[in-house]
Amino acid sequence: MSSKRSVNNPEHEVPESEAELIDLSRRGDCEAFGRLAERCQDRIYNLAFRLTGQHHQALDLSQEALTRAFGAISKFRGESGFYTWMYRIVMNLHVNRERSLARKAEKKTFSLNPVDRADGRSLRIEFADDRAGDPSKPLEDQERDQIIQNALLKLDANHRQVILLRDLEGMPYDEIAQILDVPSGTVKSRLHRAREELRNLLTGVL
Amino acid sequence: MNCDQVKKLLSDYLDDHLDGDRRGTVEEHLASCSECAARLDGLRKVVAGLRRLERVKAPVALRKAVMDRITSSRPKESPLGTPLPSKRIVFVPLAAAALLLMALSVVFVLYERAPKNDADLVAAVEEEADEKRRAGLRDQALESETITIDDGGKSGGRSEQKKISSSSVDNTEAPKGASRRATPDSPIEEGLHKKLKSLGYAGEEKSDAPGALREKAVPEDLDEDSLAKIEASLSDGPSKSAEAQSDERRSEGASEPEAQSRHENKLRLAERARARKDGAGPAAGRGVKNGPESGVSFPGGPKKRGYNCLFVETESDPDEVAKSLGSSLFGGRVADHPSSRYAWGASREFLEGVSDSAVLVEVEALNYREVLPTLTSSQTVAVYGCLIGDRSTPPQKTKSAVDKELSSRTALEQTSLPALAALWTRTSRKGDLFDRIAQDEEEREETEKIPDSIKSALSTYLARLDRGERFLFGAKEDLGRISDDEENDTTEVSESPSDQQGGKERIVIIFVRSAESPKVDPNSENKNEEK
Repeated sequence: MSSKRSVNNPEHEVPESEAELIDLSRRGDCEAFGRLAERCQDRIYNLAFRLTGQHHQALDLSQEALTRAFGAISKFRGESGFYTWMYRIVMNLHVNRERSLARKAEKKTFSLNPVDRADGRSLRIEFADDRAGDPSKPLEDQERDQIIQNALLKLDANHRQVILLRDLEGMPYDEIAQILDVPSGTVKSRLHRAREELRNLLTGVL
Repeated sequence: MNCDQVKKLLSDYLDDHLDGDRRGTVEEHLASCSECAARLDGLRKVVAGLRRLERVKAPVALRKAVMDRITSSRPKESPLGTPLPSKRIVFVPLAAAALLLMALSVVFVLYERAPKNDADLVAAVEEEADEKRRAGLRDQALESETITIDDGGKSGGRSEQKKISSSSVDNTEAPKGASRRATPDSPIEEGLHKKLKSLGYAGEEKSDAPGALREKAVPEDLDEDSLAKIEASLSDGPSKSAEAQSDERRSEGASEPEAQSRHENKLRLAERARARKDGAGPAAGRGVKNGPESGVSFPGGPKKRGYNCLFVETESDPDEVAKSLGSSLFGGRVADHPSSRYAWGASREFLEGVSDSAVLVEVEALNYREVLPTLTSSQTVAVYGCLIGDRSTPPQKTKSAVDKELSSRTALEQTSLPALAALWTRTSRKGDLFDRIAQDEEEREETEKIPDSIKSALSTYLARLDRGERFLFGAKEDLGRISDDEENDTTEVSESPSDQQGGKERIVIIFVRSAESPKVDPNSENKNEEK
């Protein structure tokens, strides 16, 4: 990775390539990392939102992932893609949080998950959020997205991760295996089960 | 190709991951099967729906929050203008110092407990020989103290024995030639609950909440003498002093074989003294069970002593035992615990079907693998594990460390625990259990991946386990969190505070064991092949 330009970089000359930004970040350049974060934050946030289903959790997860990435970027040598590395951090954090939530849920006498009423309507309190949906998008599409999102949240975390990486992010199996640190065969079987489960949940809806 | 086979390939078909032949076969089937075609259509809609999901944009607050956090954690400049050392640079030496201090403390404690001079060493070696001799008289070679509770022959006139043993006490003395007997009416639960209480499990307020700990009261009508015996036998207190044990030995006298044994002991003593001189340290002293002497062997010797373990053996229904334990631990059945999904193929069905006996081991999280080799009962099968509680993330290890650990093991010992459990079941136990385990696709895949050579090696291991030998099992993923790409390893950043506390969490492992020794059928290999 070339760093000549970075080393002698005049302040007004902003490095544009991802490799240069990574190199600068590795040397402790917060501003460079900020620009790097700006580039990838939408993808990170979108993934985090689909994993958690809630904006405040997605914000928290993305923030934590990016902060940890900055702390660990000195170990990143570019042998895997930056997004692969970032996604791996997001996934690891997500799994840890799920476990933590499960532990808390065990200690309490009530579920932390939103409770559905007998009539099938969720009791979850919906907060007004300007990012809740694209107002220009037809209402029908917004509803469909919400239904899919709710179904996603019913999946096991491992299955949710695989299906999001594959069908939302369009990643190849081997890259997903790298991110999740599991064999490709496991990716395949999880994907198969996740899709089947979603198909069952969404039958008659899609 | 039938519908079941096609169903499994549909996801790959959608992703165009099938080779030409299989793709053709699937398409041929789809053309003639409306059900599978509809299924494929449903899957297509799912994938399309996910791809059409709105891309949610990050809020502006994200970048600002990240920048605030990383700039506040940036190394500060000292007044002299040179950067102050980072937190990590400060932390590492501090952590190293703390570890050194802890290690020294442990060494000191072990040293204090270890024999100080050659006379002590003689006493220690002789004591060990006495202990082994006494152990030979027992029905089973249990290192730990054992109490046998006779229920008076509940089941069809046959006297049903229930045993509780605690391995948390090193060098515990068992009654000569036999286990202590409590009153016939003493149920296993009394002793058990006392032990659980001493471990801190039953100390909380009684609660009806599903996740709460419950305390089961000890019946008032329990015989005082029996209670005292149970308490004594379950006590975690210090073992008898060397003097008291030495007195016992003197009173017993020495026979011809014992004289021979003592001669051998002296030879071993000389070796130990040399080892000690060479800096092998007090670990070479008494009470250490390692190597061929004890039938327990693992690389580097036992790392810790005095595990807070509780073994429960019973010939009664394991599910009943599990129910009782579950009630004590978290107010429900063990197998109903939400975290039982982390079990190694264990479930309620598993517990119900496996065996006539169960062993409960209570250890600190992340230590359980070290405890496995210390399970000394001749029939304990470590691969049957039901891990209750949260399975903490394995300790962080570098790839080279895990590779090193694996290199000292045979291929079979590198098999993953679920696969081994499944394989074990199929080889020597109830076949229907394997079928149940095999319902889990991932575990079935794991098992199918095991080469035939390993499968055949299992028979040898069964025989060795039967002889009391112990082994560590586990695949790479069981040994530590590592990355294939060590340089890009993100495990460090994956740590959450909850993970860091993992070592303090409690894990309960139910080991299911057979009342009978595993029988190794020399023809089992052939039978399996035939199957």
